[in-house]
Amino acid sequence: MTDLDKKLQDNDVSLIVCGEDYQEAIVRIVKEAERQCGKICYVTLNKPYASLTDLLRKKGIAAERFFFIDGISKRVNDGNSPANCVFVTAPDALTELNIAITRTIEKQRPTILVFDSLSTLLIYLPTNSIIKFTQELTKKMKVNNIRAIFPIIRNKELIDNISMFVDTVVSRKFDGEDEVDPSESQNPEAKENER
Amino acid sequence: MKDELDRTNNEQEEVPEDNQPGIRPQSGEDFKDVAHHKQLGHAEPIIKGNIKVKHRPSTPAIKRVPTGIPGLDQAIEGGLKKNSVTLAGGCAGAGKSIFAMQFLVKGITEFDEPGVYVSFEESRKEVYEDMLRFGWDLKKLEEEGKFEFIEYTPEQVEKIMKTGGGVIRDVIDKIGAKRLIIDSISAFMLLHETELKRRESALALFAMLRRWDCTTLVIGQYAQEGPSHESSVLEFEVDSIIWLYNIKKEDIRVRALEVFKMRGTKHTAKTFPVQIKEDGIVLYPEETLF
Repeated sequence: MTDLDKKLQDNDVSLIVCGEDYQEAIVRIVKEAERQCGKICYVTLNKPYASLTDLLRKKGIAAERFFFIDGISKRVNDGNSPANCVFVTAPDALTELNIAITRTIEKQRPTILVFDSLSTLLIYLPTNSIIKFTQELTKKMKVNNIRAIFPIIRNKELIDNISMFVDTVVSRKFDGEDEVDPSESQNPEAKENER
Repeated sequence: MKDELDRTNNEQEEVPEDNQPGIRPQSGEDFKDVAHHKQLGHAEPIIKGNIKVKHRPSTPAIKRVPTGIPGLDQAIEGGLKKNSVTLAGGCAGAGKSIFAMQFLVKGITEFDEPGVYVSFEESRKEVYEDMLRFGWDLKKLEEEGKFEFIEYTPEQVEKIMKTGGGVIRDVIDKIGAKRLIIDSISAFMLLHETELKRRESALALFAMLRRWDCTTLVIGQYAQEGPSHESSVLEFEVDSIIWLYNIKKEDIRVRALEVFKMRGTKHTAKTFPVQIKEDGIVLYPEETLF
């Protein structure tokens, strides 16, 4: 098991900092999430539901245990919506997105949430809004005992501010190796496990 | 002393002296010393033998009318005060008419409280068609004798007011209505040019509404996004103000609700998100507005 896998397993809320290998990292994260038991809530602001399920299928990842919240397709929820997906008006509709996540937690009872990605929100919103949203979301995850994984593109301001809400920050190098700095771990319990 | 014993609108808690924190008999103290109790802030205590009675003024039970709107009742101690007048204000597109109609329909379908909708601007046909998309068959409710839709111009209502309510009162009595909607008070206020006349007219209307044994929602159309700092006569006269917002954030509109004022109610001070779904308005008092 790599350090990334171990960190994902040991920690409740993880920030995964990626570079050009973002897409590879996502697949790796999703595979690890699938490997751990339970249902996965995948919030996508990058790939539409149809493209994402196609990608997962090609990578040999079964989509049955996933429930998707799609904030990029700009579709409405109607009678033709897939059973395992709800649509949000736009990536920057944070209030709507937050409510969709709450409803998904209530109905689907996921054990893991993958949020792809906070970096996308930077296109639409100021950093302060994203930080406020992340704080609310991480609080919700902890209250509901749900593991959360936030892959992002390397951004100092985002990392500096969000790191106070997460249990660990995993920084990936371009060659795919995981660089985990134990001192970045915010969770005292995680630090205890490392000893 | 006997009058005090007969008084039924106060709760009294008999607390044996051993269990009464902070009040310990001192040596030689006279338990029947009324002045002692007054000093402690107890009003007019009743002394029964050697037991000190902790006298606590009680709050008469406030009768509440559940709105039936998901998320709202939990934010307002279970519902609106019975027979109160609530202003549901907001700008265009905020969802005021849907909110009001939902209050009426839920009253009929969930709490067996018939309702009357008085409209100054929209026609029966338009309203019935629009509300059908939420599954609210107003025609059917009308046929069942639980709902009445009254179309009036503001001038007609002014005339009716001079006769003590006239047709509106008759309709309320006929179906035993317990809920009433006035849509909208803004149209009514436009009848008069001066603030004084508007105030007089509004006072007269509210006095009439309060005589009718109905819990009333009065819809107010406003241009601005929130109650004004210079409170109007309406905002002073009503028992409650619920404000609906339709906030623009970049290229997205977000609906929200605020309980701005509610007499006799411990209500949430938070503005929270609202969504209009297939079966009506849903409020999320636990969620955050971004």
